Order: sequence, then structure tokens, then C-alpha cells
Amino acid sequence: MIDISAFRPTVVYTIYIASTPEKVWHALTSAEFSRQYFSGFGVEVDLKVGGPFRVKAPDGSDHITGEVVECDPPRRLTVTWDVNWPGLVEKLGSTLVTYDIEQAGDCVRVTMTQANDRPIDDDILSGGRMGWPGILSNLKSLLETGRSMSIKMEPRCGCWTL
Amino acid sequence: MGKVVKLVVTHEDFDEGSKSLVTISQGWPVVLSNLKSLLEVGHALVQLPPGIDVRKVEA
Repeated sequence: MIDISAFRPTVVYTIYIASTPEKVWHALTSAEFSRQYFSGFGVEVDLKVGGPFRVKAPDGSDHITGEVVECDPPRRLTVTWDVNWPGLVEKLGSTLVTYDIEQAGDCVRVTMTQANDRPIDDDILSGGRMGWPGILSNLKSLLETGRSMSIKMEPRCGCWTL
Repeated sequence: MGKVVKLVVTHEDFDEGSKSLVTISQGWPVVLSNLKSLLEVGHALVQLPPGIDVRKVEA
């Protein structure tokens, strides 16, 4: 199991969604749901500590692989989030992604924290800084209106760009 | 971007250790999430979460 004590937040994004923690949790952890807000990418996760985590590209290949580090449904999920681009994990080390899901009045506060154990160049981090708002904005639209926006996103540099 | 608008808010020039930076970092997600809901579904999220009052920003 990975030692998370050395990791520091590198990208943090918070969004409020008119939904319930249970629905948000389900949306973040199910392939059927994630394909609708995550550009056709399917999240597959065995929801227990040490369980495998992967994000499958529309062609069925593993785009992101990792494992569950913390699992406290429907409040907190931490996974290792390693993008399968040649040489990227060797350079960046593992990336941790944590979703904190909290009831906040009549809505739900979702905070995504990306953390790394070493300094990361801004050009690498810019992928996440642009990509996470796109993914989570789509999730919010999907849960609130029943449909996601058509934000066109493409992988770049192991991360995401719009 | 087609029928979708990308809005980027940049709020900068804070002092080192600024208390207002902490408050504002909590406040912007509330305001922008409300704005998105208002434009997409016709109404803002019902209320601000407890403990966050974007009207009170420490100088």
C-alpha cells in the first residue's frame, strides 16, 4: 500500500451539486454513469481498500490504472490515478485523487484533490487544472438536468485539455 | 466552445498567509456553482452551505 503521508495537493477543485451524497458517489464510481460526463471513459473500481481502479477509454484500453487507498462511502474515496502514457508515471510518480463528498445545506459539496509526492511542472499540472473543471461541470449538469454538456476533451500530455 | 461557455475567474495578488484568500477560495465555488445552476436549470442552489457567508470577507 502506498504511503500517502508524503503527498501534497497540486490541484484542488470544489463544486456544489443539487443532489445527494449517495447519487454523487454512484456517479463517480460507476462506468455507466462516468461515460456520460467523462468523454466516454468508464470508471471501474472494486470499492475496498487495495481494490483495483481503472478508467477505460472508449476503445476498451486502460487509460488510467490504480488502486483504492481510502474508501468511505458515500463520503470519501482516494485512489491512485496513474495515466498510462509512456514514461509518465516514472516521471511524476503516482498521483493520488481524492473525492470528498459532503452534505452542504440542500446540496452536496464535492471536492477533488489531486496530490503528488514531488514538485510537478506547471505544464503538466495545467492538464488537470483544465480537465477537472470540465469533468466535474459535466457531472453537475448530468445530475441536475439529466444530461451532460458536450464539452469536447482530448487527452494531452497524459492529462486533459479542452 | 459550441453551446458551452468556459468561464475562468482569476482572483490574485493576495498577501502571504492572507485570511481572505482562504475565505475567498471557499466562496468562489459556491457563487460559480450557483451561477451554473441558475443558467442551466433556472434557479440557484437553495441555500449557501452553513459556515460560508461570502458577504463577510476579512480584509
